[in-house]
Amino acid sequence: MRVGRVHILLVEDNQETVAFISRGLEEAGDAVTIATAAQEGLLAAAAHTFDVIIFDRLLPGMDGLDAVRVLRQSGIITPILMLTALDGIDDRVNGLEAGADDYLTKPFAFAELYARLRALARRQPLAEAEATRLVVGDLVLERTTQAVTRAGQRLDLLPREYRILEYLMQNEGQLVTRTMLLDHVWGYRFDPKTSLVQTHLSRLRAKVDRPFETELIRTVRGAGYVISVS
Amino acid sequence: MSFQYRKALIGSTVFRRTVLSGVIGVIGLIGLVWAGFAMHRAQTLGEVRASLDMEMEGLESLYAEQGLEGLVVSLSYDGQAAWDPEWLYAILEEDEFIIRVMTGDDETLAGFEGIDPPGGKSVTFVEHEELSGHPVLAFRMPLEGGEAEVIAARFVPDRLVILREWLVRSSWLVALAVIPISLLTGFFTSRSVVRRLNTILVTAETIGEGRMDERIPLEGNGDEFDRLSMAVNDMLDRIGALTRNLEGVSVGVAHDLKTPVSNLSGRLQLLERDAGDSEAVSGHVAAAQKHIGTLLRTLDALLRLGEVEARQRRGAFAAMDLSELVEDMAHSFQPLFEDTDKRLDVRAAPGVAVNGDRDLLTQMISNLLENTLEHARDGANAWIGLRTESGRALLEVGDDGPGLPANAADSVFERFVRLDSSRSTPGNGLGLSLVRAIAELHHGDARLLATEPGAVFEVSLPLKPD
Repeated sequence: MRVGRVHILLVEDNQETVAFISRGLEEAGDAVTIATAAQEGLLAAAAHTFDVIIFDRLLPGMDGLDAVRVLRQSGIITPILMLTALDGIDDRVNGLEAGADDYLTKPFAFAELYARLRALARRQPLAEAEATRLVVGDLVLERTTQAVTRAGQRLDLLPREYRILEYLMQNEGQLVTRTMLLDHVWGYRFDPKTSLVQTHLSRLRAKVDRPFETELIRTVRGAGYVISVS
Repeated sequence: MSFQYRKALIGSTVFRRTVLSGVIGVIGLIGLVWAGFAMHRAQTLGEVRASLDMEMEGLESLYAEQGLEGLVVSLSYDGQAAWDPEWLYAILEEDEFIIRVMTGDDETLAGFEGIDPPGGKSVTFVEHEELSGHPVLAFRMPLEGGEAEVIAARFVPDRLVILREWLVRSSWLVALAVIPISLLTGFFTSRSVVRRLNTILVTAETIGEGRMDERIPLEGNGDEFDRLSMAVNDMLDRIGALTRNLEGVSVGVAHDLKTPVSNLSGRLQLLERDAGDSEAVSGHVAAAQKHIGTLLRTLDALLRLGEVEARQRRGAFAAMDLSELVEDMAHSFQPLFEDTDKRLDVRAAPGVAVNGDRDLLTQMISNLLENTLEHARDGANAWIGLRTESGRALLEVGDDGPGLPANAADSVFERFVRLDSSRSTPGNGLGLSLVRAIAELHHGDARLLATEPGAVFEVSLPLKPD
């Protein structure tokens, strides 16, 4: 399933970044509201309803962390993605603790940002994320028993393969990037130089797709993976 | 010996201290001896006094019973009331009393005429040539009724006199001798100290002028100057190594950043040339992004290394199960090994717990595994092991070939050191630096074991206290 047109608030003071993000989002068919200062962003967030807010960490006049804290304290629960040039390990933890839902370090590929925004925008109905059974075409994943079947045939997955598949199916039809997988499946906060993700994905695909006629997991070159019935 | 040097010598603290302590020591010694003498003298004179008191009492009672005449008679020798001065020798030798009884007009009635002390009890001297002024302790008392006075005296024991004279002489002697001796001692002591310090000073000045390879020469006797010099030399070696490493780092950073940047520049030029060919364009773009990825990974690794080395991360320490992490990561990496026709065995003892930063330890293990994955030969048997030994967790990541040269044990952990000097293999030479930095942040260390034929890295971390 796809998320329709989403409305995004972008709080960012760097003109290059603003142009880069808003152009990409508008081309993808989303609506973007731009604020170039923290105060302006807070006012916009309070006045309108957005699907996702992108907040830069370093803004003139106010630390993005404090702005996010203010938003959360005033009861705004819109998913927030923090952007930052800071790359300390603690910076990420601090960002999530302040109330951001995800954290992305500059520079980033637009595809990475977009995939994360989609994942955030569709997270809203919480019940869905908690569903006990995930289905993509004839692929069925039972969360209670951790059993995976395709066309009624039982697939024998290793625990890590199960978690990769579960995460892909949760984001059905959406791009899941390599770093999203590293983040959510492995819990690694760094980018290994080896092809860790690719290797595991190819093994998963050997089990999920190769014995069957149609391919469910597709590679998006240089970006990540999508699971969908094409 | 130059004037400057002599001036430094005389002005040195050691010289002044040595002379001062010599003088103080001698003054103290003389004072002590004199104090002992004074005590001895007081005691001896006290005894003499007591005997004089008794003698006086005897004379008084004699006078009371028999009057002046009786007293005079009893003091007479061979019917002669006045004593012959020659007797003094006998009295001196036999330690007897000297007595004189006289009228108020100083006329001697009996006893020895030559003694005439002032009133009361005092030390006076015998005025007799032959005795050359031998001191006596003398009492002078009027007899009851006032018709006459009695003087009773006794020689001060000879040993006191001799001792005193001897002490006066030797005190002067010592006092005079000690000045040149302590000056001489001060000179020689401070000369050796100043000479040693001067060596250190000269070396320090030479190094200050930029000749960083200079070292303080050692005497070889292991004294405190040698120990100081060795400590300073070690420090200089360490600083030198750090400086060289830093120089290597600058070159390494420049090289590792320049390569992807020039690749990027090349791709941009190709992009311009192939602008019409959309397939070629997307190929160039993908390649350009790969180069940027390399650039970013190097920058990330540098930042992370800086962060870890600046010890900014101990706040995130928590108790964690290292065995579980090792197992989990090994299973993640096993497929990567298999794809390059290698094996990765796991030999992790269960339940090994440490206090640490999970993210950093994950990265550390990942770097070790990646290093092995990259450098072990195809078909190699690699392993990751975890065990405990005397309060420490020992993590081992190794392979059976081709291994590293024997001299690589330390350099392999330095930043940007890549044993492949052509830098043609992937990697930025920061991976193992980060391993060591993370281990050290956890109060542990990382080393390359001297094994054949493969390369085996061992990280030792303190176990979580119970």
